[in-house]
Amino acid sequence: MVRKVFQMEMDRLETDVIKMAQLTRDAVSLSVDSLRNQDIEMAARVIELEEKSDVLNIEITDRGMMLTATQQPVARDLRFISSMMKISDSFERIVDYAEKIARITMKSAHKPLLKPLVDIPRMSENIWKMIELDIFAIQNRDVRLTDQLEPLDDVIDALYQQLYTELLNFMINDTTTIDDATDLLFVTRYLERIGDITCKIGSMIVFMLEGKRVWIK
Amino acid sequence: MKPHVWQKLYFNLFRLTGLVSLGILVIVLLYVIQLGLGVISFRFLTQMWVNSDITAGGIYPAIVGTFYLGVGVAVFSLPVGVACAIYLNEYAGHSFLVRMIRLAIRNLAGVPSIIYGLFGFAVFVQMLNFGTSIIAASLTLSGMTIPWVITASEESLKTVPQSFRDGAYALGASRWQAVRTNVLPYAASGMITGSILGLARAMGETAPIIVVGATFYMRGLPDSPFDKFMALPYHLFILTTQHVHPQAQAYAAGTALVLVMLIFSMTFIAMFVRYRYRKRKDW
Amino acid sequence: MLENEEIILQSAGLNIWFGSKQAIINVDLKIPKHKITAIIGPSGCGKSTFLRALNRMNEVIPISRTTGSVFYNGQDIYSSDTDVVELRKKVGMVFQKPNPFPKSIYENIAYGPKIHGIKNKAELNAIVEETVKSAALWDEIEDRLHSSAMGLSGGQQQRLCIARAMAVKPEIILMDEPCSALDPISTAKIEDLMIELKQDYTVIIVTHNMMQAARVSDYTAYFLLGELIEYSETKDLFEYPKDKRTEDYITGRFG
Repeated sequence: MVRKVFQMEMDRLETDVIKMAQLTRDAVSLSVDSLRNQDIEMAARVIELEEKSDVLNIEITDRGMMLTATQQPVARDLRFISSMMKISDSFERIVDYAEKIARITMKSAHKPLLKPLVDIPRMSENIWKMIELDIFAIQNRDVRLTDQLEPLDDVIDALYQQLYTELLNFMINDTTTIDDATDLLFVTRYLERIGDITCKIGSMIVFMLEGKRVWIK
Repeated sequence: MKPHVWQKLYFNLFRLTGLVSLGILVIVLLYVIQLGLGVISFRFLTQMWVNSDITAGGIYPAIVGTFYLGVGVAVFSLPVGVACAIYLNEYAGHSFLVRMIRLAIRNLAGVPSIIYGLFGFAVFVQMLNFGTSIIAASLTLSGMTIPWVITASEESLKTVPQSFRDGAYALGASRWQAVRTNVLPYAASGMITGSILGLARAMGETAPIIVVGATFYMRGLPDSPFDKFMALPYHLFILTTQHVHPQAQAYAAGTALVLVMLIFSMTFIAMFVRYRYRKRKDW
Repeated sequence: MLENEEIILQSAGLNIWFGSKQAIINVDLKIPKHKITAIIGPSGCGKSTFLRALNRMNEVIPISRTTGSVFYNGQDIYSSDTDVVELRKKVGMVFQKPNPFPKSIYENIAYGPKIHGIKNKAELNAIVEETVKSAALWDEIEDRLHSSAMGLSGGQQQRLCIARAMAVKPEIILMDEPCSALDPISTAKIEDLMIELKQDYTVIIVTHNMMQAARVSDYTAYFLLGELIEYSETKDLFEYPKDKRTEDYITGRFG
């Protein structure tokens, strides 16, 4: 094989990005679980994961820069390396949001939830599925998987709208709930943003594999 | 034996053969000098030959004759030889005809000189009716010299890098322009050296001129190219083999010495030209 | 975009053989004016052969045979009434190994104009000064114009050869791996020079250094085993090549 070292380094880059994706998937799920169960230990684990994701993202970025500087990548190699770096950054932003959710858990774990969480876990489930799709698309070099992202995100957006209205009603009817309702509003907002970012990651995967620019949402 | 001992052995063996070559030259020179130096005098070099008494005159006409021969050979062989070399190296392709030409040149260089003499006699002296003359001898010797000049000139042309020609062509030079302005100037000195050496060789040839035109004695100097002539190699040949005078050997040696000095000086000039050129060469 | 460019040189059905080996197979290529076109490809792909066909320099090699056409200014340069000397005035060439003649710098540059009949001293002086300046060499050698060209460094010699080519006022300058014998700094200077040159000339460069082609050229052609595989704007070819063979070559997977 020609350019063995280069290929090995690029495989390593991909492995790290997959790791990043898995870490992100776990962090989001864990953060919502921690909120639902009001479990401070789970929240603390999310915060650990966020620290790990920062470090991993920097490693990925450094490797990408090194490969660009020393290997003069062009065409599909260039698209691969630049996309991997951007995808990693995007996952890192998602984990930041997950961390924010975990912090809300920690802040409000001592008091009962405003209402039992139903929609928020459903949003989280979809996010899990979407990140899994991104992972499979990268591993199998299959862009068709990204077609399934949009419908899942549509559900997330609908749930967001629904929850938004519901929480607003809570606040209008009973001003003592404003504090707790606002927390939940933030959480649901974060999850909606996470859904969008996951779609953007799908677009980046399409560009990486086919050189085309598409907008998934 | 250890390798480095073998090394030394071989090195000294080769060095010995070099010394042997030098030795032969030195011995020949010493012999000629020793035998003939006594004969050399201003009179010997500048006076006309007196056939009745070989000690009385000088070999001036033989010197002149050899010189005229040299000029004649130069006139006939240099232009033809150089032009042929230019044709072969710069213009000719690889067709069957060209390969035959090259083969012919190589063979010509190996033909024994006496055969050139016979050829010259048959064609120039008899058939074309030039008689035994300077022109007949010059033409004959040219036949011998031309292959030599061609080879030396071709070698010189080959040393000019192809990039000079390519560079000239890329600038829009025609083939002759490229050769004239960017190849010949750099091959010239090699051609000159080769030509001088070829001439020197021709001027020392004996067998052809025996057959074709030299005479042992004539009155005065040659008036025209169609005249008879005396020449150093022939003169020396006759003195050595045919003359009965007790001092003939000495006079032969003296003639030989003059001839050798002449050849040496031409060789020296050729090497000097080459040396000066090598110093100036910056490619 | 090639469609919008003015085409100055165009090959049509060009085939070239050396003896029995075919070096160029049916190449159609359009060269745009006032642009730098790079020709890349692995060793033996025919890129130098193609370049040399554009000024009929292949004819210097006895066993070469060419069929097809190369159109320059509407005329096929391989037709029998083309004056090769005139062609080579208009289509100049710079070689891989700098080949200054062993004359002075002045005489090197004046060589071309002189063989084309320019004798006037003043005119020659002007040509020498103008081309040496255009080749970004004037500052370095203005005080030793009459010293031997062989005393210059490799990079200077190559710029001298470029100036020498410009002295006969060509329209097109062909460069056959002009930097491959030079150090990186000289290479960079010559690359800058090429970009300057395209304002007044059209440049076609053969290079085995892909990154150089990517840096310098507007259009890039990829040759493989005598065939033209892909030809497009440089940025397109290097970002998203259309042919897998091109991509394999430029990503270095083709070994």
